Amino acid sequence: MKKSLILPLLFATVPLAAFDWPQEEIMSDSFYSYFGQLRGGTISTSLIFADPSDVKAADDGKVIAVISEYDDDSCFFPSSFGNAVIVAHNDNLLTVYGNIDGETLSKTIYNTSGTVKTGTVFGSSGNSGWQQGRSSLEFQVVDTKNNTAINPRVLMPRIGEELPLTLTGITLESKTGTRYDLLVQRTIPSGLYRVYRQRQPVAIPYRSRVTINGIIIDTIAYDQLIREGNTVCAAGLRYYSKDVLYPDDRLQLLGEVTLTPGKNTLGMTLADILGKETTSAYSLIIY
Amino acid sequence: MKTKKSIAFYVFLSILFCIAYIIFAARPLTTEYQFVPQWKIDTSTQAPSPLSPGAVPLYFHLGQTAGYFTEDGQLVSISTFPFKATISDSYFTSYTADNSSVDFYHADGSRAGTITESGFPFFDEDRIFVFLPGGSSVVQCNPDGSKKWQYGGTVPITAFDSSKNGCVVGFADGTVREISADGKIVREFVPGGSDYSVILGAALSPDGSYIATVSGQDRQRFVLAKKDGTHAKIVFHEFVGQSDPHQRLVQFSRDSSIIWYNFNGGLGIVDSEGKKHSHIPVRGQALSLQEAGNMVFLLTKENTTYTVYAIEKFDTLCGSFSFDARSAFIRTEGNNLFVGKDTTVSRITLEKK
Repeated sequence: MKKSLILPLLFATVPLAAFDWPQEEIMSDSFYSYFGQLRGGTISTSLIFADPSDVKAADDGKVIAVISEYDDDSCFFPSSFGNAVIVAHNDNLLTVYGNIDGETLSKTIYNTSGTVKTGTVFGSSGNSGWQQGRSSLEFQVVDTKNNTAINPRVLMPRIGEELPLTLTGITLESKTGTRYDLLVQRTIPSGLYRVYRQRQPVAIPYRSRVTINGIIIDTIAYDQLIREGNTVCAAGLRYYSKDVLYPDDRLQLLGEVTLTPGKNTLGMTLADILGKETTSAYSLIIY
Repeated sequence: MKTKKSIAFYVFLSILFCIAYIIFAARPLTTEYQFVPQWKIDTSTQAPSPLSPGAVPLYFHLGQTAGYFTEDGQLVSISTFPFKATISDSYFTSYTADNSSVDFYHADGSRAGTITESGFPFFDEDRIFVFLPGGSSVVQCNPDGSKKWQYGGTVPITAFDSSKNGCVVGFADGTVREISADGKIVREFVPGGSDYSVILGAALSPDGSYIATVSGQDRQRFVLAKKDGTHAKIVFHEFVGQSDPHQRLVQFSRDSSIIWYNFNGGLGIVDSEGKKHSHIPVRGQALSLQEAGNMVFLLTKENTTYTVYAIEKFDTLCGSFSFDARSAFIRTEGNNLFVGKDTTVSRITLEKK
C-alpha cells in the first residue's frame, strides 16, 4: 500500500479529539445529561458529567471570565452556571466549565497572565449551579464566530459504547395539532406532519432521519445548536425550536414529512455519535 | 544696651504679627460629613414583628438569611434557606438547585405569584427575571410570575442589568444586547478594543439613554455609549490597565448623570457627557454601590475583608472603613446608611456638621 494512503487510513481508525477531558475521563454511556437533551425546559447546550471530580482545562487557552455565585447582596445576576470559568481558545472557540465548588475555585488562574495549559485544574465540580440529581461538571463548547453551541463530545475523546437508542411511541402531529399514534392508527389524512418518538430521559441521538419510501426527507443533527432570533434551535429541514423539538416532556421530534395520498412507507433512523443506527418503518395508508 | 532694645523690639513685633495673624487669618471650619451610629440589630436573636403602619420595609440578604427591616430598627421578617434566595424591596423567594417552579412573596409576606420557569430567579426592584439552565438564556416574568418574554442564546451571559426601560445583557463573545421591556432586541454592539472580547460588566441608565460596559482582557476597556436610533454611539472610552476575569460593577446614578465602574484596583467615575472622569483606588472587587444625596457608598470585598468607601460626588474620597465578615451588605435610604455584617444590621446617620 502506498505510504500516502497509510496515514489518512490510520487517522480514520483512531478517533481524533481536539480537546482533552475537562475532568476525570468517564465511559461514553455514563454522562448525566447529553447535549441537545431537554433540560429544565430548554434544549441543553451542555454536557453534564455525573460524578464529582477535579475540573481542568480541556485545551491551552486564556481565562477570559470567572463567573461567581454571590452570598452577599451584590449588583450581580445569579448565573445558572453557579461558579464558572470561561476559557478562550484558538479558532474562535470558548470552553465553559460550570457548577464549580466555590471553595475550591483556584485563585491562581487569574493572578498570573490568565493563560492556562491543557489539564490546568480550576477547582472541583460542586453544587453551585442549576442542577438535577447527580449532576456535576457542566461543560460547554461555544463557537463565537458562527454563534453556535457545539456538541462537546464531537471534540472530546470517547470511551466505550454509546447508550442504546429506541424508536418507540411514534406519533405524527398534523399542522392543526391532531396527533396519530402509529401503533394504533395507520390510515391518516394527507398533509404536513411532524414525526415524534417517545423521548428517552438520558440517551439522545446524534442524528435523526425520516424517510418516505426510502427517500430522505428530513435530518436533524445534534452536532451543534444555533441561535435564531431569540431562540435556540436544532437544524434540520428547518430550524426547530424547543417548543417544536420537545412539545412536551414525553416526545422528541425526528423530522417533518409531507404525506401524499396512497401507500407510504415512513422510515425513521436514529444514529449515535459512532454512527450506529437504529431503524424502524411503518406502512401508512394516506387518503 | 542698644542691641538689647533692638531684640526686644523685634520680639514684640513678632508677637504682634502672630496676634494679628490669628485674628485676621482665622476662618470658620467647613462643614464635614459625620457618621452617627443610631442602632444595631442582631437578626439571629431578635424576633420579627409585624410591619408597623406607615413603615417602609427594607430588604437585607446576608449569607443564608434574608428578610426585611425598617428604618427604626424593627425586624419585620427573616428567612433562612439551604441553597439560594433572591430579594428586593418588592419580592422575596428562596429556591432549590433544581428549581422549576417556585412561589414568590411580597415584602409583607403575602403570596405574589408563582414562577414556573426552571432556573435561578432574580428580582431587580419590581422586575422579575429567571436565568435559565445552560447559562445563556433569560426570561422576564410578569408580576404574577408568568413568562413575559424569553431570550434564548448559545453564548454564556456574563453581565446583566435592568431598568424600567428594559435590560442590557453582556456575553462571553463580547456582544452587548439591549432588550426592550417587551422583549425585543433593540440594540446590539461589540465594544471591542481588546484581544479577548468578553463583557464583564454592563449597565443601562435609568432614563434608558446610555449603556456602559467593562470588557476585554489584556487591555480591559470601559465604554460609555449613547443610544442613537438602533445604534450605540460611543461618547467616552478608556483602557483601564490590568487583565482580570472577575465580573465588574458598572452602575449609573439615579439621574443617569454619573457612571461608576470597577476595574482591577480602582473605581472609575465618569459623567454621562464624557467630559469629566476620574479614578479612585479601591481594594478588592466592588459588590454594591449606593447613593445618598451627594454621597456615594461603595462596598468592596477582598478575600474575607469588606471595605466601605464614602465618596462625595464627583470624586472626593471622604473616608473608608473595613471589617472581616462572611457576608455583608450596604443600603441607603434618605440620609441613612445601613451596614449588614454576618447576622447584624447597623444604621448610621449621615450628618453634615
